[in-house]
Formats: sequence, structure tokens, C-alpha cells
Amino acid sequence: MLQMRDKKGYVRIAVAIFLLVFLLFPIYWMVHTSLMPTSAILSVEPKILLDPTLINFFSYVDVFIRKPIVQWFRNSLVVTIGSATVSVVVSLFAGYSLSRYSTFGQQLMGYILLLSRMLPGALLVIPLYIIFSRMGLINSLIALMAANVTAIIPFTTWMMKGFFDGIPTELEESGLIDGCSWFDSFYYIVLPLTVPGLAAVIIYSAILSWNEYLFARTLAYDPGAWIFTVGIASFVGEHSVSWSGLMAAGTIFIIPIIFLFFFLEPYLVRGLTAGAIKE
Amino acid sequence: MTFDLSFRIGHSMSFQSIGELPYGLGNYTQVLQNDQTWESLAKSLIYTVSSTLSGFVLGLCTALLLNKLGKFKRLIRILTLLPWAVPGVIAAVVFLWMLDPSYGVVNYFLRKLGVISKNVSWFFDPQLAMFSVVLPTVWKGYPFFTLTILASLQGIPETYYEAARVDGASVLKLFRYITWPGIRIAAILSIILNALWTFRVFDIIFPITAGGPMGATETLAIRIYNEAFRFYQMGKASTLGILTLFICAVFVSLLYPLMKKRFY
Repeated sequence: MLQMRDKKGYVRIAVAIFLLVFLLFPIYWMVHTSLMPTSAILSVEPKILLDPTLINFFSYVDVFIRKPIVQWFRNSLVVTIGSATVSVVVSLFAGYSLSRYSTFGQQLMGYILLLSRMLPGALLVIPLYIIFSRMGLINSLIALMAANVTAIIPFTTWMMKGFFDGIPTELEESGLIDGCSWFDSFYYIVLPLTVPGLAAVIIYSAILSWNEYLFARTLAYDPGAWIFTVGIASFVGEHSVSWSGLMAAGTIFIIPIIFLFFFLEPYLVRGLTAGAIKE
Repeated sequence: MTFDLSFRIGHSMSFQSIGELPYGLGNYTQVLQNDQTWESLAKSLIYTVSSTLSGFVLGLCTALLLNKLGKFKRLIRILTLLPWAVPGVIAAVVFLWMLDPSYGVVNYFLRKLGVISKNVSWFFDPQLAMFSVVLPTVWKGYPFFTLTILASLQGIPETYYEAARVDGASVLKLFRYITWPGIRIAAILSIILNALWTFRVFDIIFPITAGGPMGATETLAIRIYNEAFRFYQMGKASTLGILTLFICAVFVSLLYPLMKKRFY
């Protein structure tokens, strides 16, 4: 009996690995292309397996020389850190109030937030463009941060609300009875319990703003203010696309997000499911 | 109060931009009478429905598999969920490369397998272009289903299965009467959320086709953008946007009772 179970387990792992090969092939192929010389890439009979004798980092060097990769990276990083910070602070308090007070206004706000989760970015970007051009903020990273924040907060607020819902009000009340101020009980009792929620919100907003494309393309068309997604997309419009360079750039920009994902994935899973589904 | 700004500005500013011109319903009659609008809506619906359903099937399969995995569970789960974190633009360019008409690896595989005899130009054929943008969308979208379904699968007690097995239930019956009722609500909710996400997708379609060829992939989101920033028809674009918002609002209002029950 035990042996049969073992066998079944191995079959499952084999199926899982087969599925993974299939599902992760696009990522593999991106890295593969970035490591191959042009002659091997532009071939009608491409080699599927990595040929160690052909591996070279020429396209990485090349893309660094020909494109302002460092600047794109820096812009992306600034926008991501800025948007994530603001989103976390705002959604922390907004989520708390949504969870704790249920007046008519609160209900309405919940509905409005839910609705704004459904706003197409392409619609949101029109008024943002008009506002920022009046304020002279077009082509500035601040505009990108502000735009990202408006898109992220509806999501993260609902996530935080899910976490606060899981913390019993009795805990705070006991704090208040013992003579804490409201802020003290929030700071010393509730906040430490929401650390996993905060972690989830941080990763979530970081991934969203790192991957953002629409706002970045519209609100910062000056090459100096490009973040990497816009830079990557700019390869495609060229006459002959440098595939190895493009894939090398793609690999570079996917690395930070993969790292973040590997280390913080458990928080993200818990956060998303807490926000989306109440157990 | 600031966090609802996104919604309010969307409303007032788009009217303000029209407001510099004389008021009137011109944009609305124009947009509503234009066949192109309904074509875009139809394309949006085709795109959303096909991406969401394929993503759901893939997500369901991976979730069922992951749930039963003993060893390497965490590693395999992370790897399965990875495409979710990949930027839409990168997913777009990778598929653009894989589906490249002359050197694309997909054409190579299909040639080897004997499915096609000569290369297919995926993104340039209006009939295939929609399929070609659905592909990266499914790839980026399925982990969300895996995640939500997996979470609810883990809430089903193993004893249910043992009891059913003792009674001699088949695998199909186990799924139909134990697994499916256990995940039904999560599945429906994730389909709704994913459909709403797909309805707005911009960063996967735009870098690949920008709505082309010949408008074959011009969903509402892409069309709003093209009207506004290619033809500078801000009024028309806003009208289209309000229309999209209206569709979403009706959709959400209908489903709000269900969502509310599970969200709160």
C-alpha cells in the first residue's frame, strides 16, 4: 500500500515537471535566446537545448552599450519604491477604517473602490494626462508614481481590509480599557499583527508598479524618463528587431521580480487569498 | 478620501475636457451609432471570454496537481506561479519572438510535428492575431486561478475523500461531488476578477499589435487609447471610456451581492 502511494507520488511529480517545462518554456526561451549568438538565433532550425559551446554574453554587453539600460533601471526603481511606499501607508489606514466602521459612507466608499478596480487604465490615463500637463508634471517620475498609486490603492486597500477583518476588535478594546489612546492601541496591538498583510501589500504594489506600462508610456514619453517597460517595448518598433538584445534586456529586468517573488511568495499567496476569498 | 480619487477624476475631468467645447451629446450619438464601437466591444468580449476560460482550465489543472504533491511542493508552486509576476510587456515580447514568422520557435515545433507545412505569420494575419494575443494573456493569467483554487482546495478535509473512496466513488465522482462544491465559489469569483482584469488589458496587446492588423485586436481598452493619444480625440475617447465604465458598473452591480458576501 505504502509503495503504491509512493509510486503515485512520483507520477504526480513527473506530470508536474512535464507541465512546468511546458509552462516555463517562454522564460527559458528568453534566457536561451539572450545567450546565443545571432547566427544561432536567426536560424530556421533553432537548437532547443542550451549548447554550452555557443553561450556568450555578447548581447548583454551590446544592449548595455546601445541602450540606456542603467537609466531605465534607475527610473523603474525610483517609481516602484515611491509608489509602493505611498500605497502601503494609505491603504493601511484606509483598509483599517473600511474594516472597523460601517456607516453608509463607508459602504459607498467600498463600492466606489470596487468599481475603481474595474476602471480601464486607458480611461484613467486621459484625465491624468490632462491634470499632469496642467501641472507641468509630464515626463516626471512623480507623475508616474501618482498615477501608479491611484491604480494600486483600490486593490491594496481591499487586501488590508481583509487582514484587519481577521483581527478581533476585542484586542483593541482591551488596549483602550487599559488606558491606551486610540493611536497607541493601533500602533502597539493591531499593527504588529498585520505584518504579513503589509508584506503582501508591499510585494503586490511593487510588482504592479514595476510592471506598469500604460501610464509610463503616456505620461513620460521623453526617453530620459522612460522606465524599462517602455524601453523594452521600444525595441519592437525598430526596423530590424535585435532579438538577442531584447531578450537580454528582458532577462535583466525580470531578475529583481523573480528574486522578490521567491523570497516573499508565501506572504503574497496569503495576502491575495485573504483579500479575494474569506475562508 | 484620496483613495477614491481615481474614480472621481475619471468622471469629472473627462467632462471638463469636453467642457472646453460646447456641451452636447454629440460624442455619445457618434460613438453609439458607430459600428466600430460595437466591433471593439465584441472583440473585447471574445478576448476576455477566451482568455479567462482557457486560463481557468489551465489554472484548475495545475491547482489540482499541486494540491496532491508531496515533495518539492513549495518549489514547484513558486515556479508554477512565476508567470504572474512577469511584466506584461516582457510576456508580450517573448511571445512575439516565439511566434515570429520566420525564426519563431513555435512555427519550428509545429513544422516538426507536421501540423503546418509552411510558416504561419501569427500576428499579421487578422484571423490569427486574436489567438496570438490571447496566448500570452492566458500564460500571464492562469497563476491567479491556480492560486485561488489551490487555497480553497486546501480547505476541503481529506476525510471527505476517504469516506467517498470507502463507498467506492470513482475519480470523476470525487471531483463532481466533493472537489467542485468545495471550490465552486472561489472558482466563480476568480473568473469574475480575472475577466475584469482581462477586459482592461493593455500592456500585452499594445506592444505587440497596437490594435492591428486592421483593427483585429482592437479591444475597447486599446481603442480608447488610440482615440485619445493617436488621434487626440479626447472627447470621443472619454465617451468610450464612460461606456466601458458603464458596462463594468452594470456587471459589478449585478454581481455585488455575491461578491459582498465573500469579500466582507
